[in-house]
Amino acid sequence: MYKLTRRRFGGVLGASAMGVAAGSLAAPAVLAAAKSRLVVIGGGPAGATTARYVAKGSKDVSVTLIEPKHHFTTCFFSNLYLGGFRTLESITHGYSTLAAEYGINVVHDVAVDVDRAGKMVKLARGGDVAYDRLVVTPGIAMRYDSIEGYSAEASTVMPHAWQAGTQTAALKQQLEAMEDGGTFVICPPPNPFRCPPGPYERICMVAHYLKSNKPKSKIIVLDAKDKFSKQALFQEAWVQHYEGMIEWLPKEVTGGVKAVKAESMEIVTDGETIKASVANVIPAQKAGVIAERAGLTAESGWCPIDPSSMRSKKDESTFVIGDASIAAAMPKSGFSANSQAKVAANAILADLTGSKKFPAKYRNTCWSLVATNDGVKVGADYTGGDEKIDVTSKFISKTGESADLRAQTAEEANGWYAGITKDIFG
Amino acid sequence: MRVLNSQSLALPAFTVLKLIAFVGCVLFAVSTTMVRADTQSKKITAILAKADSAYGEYLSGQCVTCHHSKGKADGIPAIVGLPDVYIVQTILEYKHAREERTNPTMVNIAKNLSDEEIGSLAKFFSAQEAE
Repeated sequence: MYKLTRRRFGGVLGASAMGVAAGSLAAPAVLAAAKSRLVVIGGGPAGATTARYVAKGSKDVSVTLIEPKHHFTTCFFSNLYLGGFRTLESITHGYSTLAAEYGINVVHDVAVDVDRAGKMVKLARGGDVAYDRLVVTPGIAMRYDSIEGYSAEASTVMPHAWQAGTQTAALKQQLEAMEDGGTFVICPPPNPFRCPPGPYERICMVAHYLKSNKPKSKIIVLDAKDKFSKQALFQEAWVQHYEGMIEWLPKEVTGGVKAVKAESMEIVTDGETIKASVANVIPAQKAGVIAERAGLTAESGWCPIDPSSMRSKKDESTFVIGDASIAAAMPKSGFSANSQAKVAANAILADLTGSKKFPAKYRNTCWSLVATNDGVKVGADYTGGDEKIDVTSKFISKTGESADLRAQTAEEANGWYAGITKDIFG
Repeated sequence: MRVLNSQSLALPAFTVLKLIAFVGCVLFAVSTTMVRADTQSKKITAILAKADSAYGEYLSGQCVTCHHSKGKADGIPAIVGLPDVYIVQTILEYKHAREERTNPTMVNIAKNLSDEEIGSLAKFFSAQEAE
């Protein structure tokens, strides 16, 4: 059994050599077999942070990170790119530090399946990677079928831009090509979804761009919900900075989006068909595909976890971290994912090296930029309870805060971005 | 002349009494502050004595999401390499939302930290170096 695993692992070394960061692994093949093995699927805030903290925590664990992309554009701050406050390059990160400084074997391939009984991850380009502990962090997948007429193909015309990169760039191009006096329609998704304040920060950022460049334009919000995160703060900003530009229509008014027609740029609600110049359609979501393939999801489409460690409730050798997990009170955010990763890394190191397992303490803070030098935030501390992750205490910005305080909050967000990306990518 | 004298004597006597009272008050205030400062410094020492380095390293993970791990201060203050006493004192000020320490993020965080956790974090961050 051990020999088989070792031979198979050697096979993967060959496969990964064709990939990218081969150097670090090819040589210590024998050593690697003696070490315990952590395999991480997904190189976002959850996966890359876990890989880095486990590699940092012990030299006796070999860490393999499987991520198809060579560069990762963060979803957080991608709204600031739409508003013109950030370039796409400034929110895009590589994996070279994780490979060079932490000895992580970064394999740029797609994990297509998991053999949980045999503890193997199957890669798209062939080869299996053996593990002792597995971390699954696939983020979200779109439920295209939640809106009639919407699909991966339709999303090239009506981008969701809810996974950062080409989708975000497509939305930005459409905004730039839009005529002054056009209608930007955004359809925020039903709960639960990635980044609860995200659609509403996006409305602010698009409004900021339009106010400066195409002031006759309008924004129509066809929400799948009747209320949303930081609502009072966003609605205050819409009146204060973009008066008359934004019309928010909750589900109780429209009945929600029933269908879209990409060819005619139309969005159909219960009573109305709205023609959009630019349509940002964000569908309902579920855990990324590999989580379902690996049998880690519940009926809801998300993955149940043990709140004290982020260990999968379906498999004790596997951890699910970030957006794909059911983290109860914690929102699906990059901050949450990064926080959960450190609790999971501690538990993984305890499993593999016998080091001390500390109590689960999680944190989240979400900053939103609502206009130039005007930031708001919401956050909470959490603990791993018996049944679920519970809120310990929380805070939120207030309406009517001074301009100085808002400018300071906006500045804080920049500091956070520098801090968290250093913590994720090294 | 005599009347005048008695008057001129009576006034300074009252002033002297006031002066004694004032000096007394000042001394009392100074000594109380000293006692308070002494109590505070004993408290900080006690908190630092509870530090657990492995726990501090684990907990620090939740701080470096915002406070840059190599000391870059881009809108959020750098905390690496600060004296441990200063870190404890600052966290305590946040815990009680004293004076300028009103940032709701830090007040919320500090109120959930035990003495052992504060001591462990202070020891950990004071031992780190900025890049």
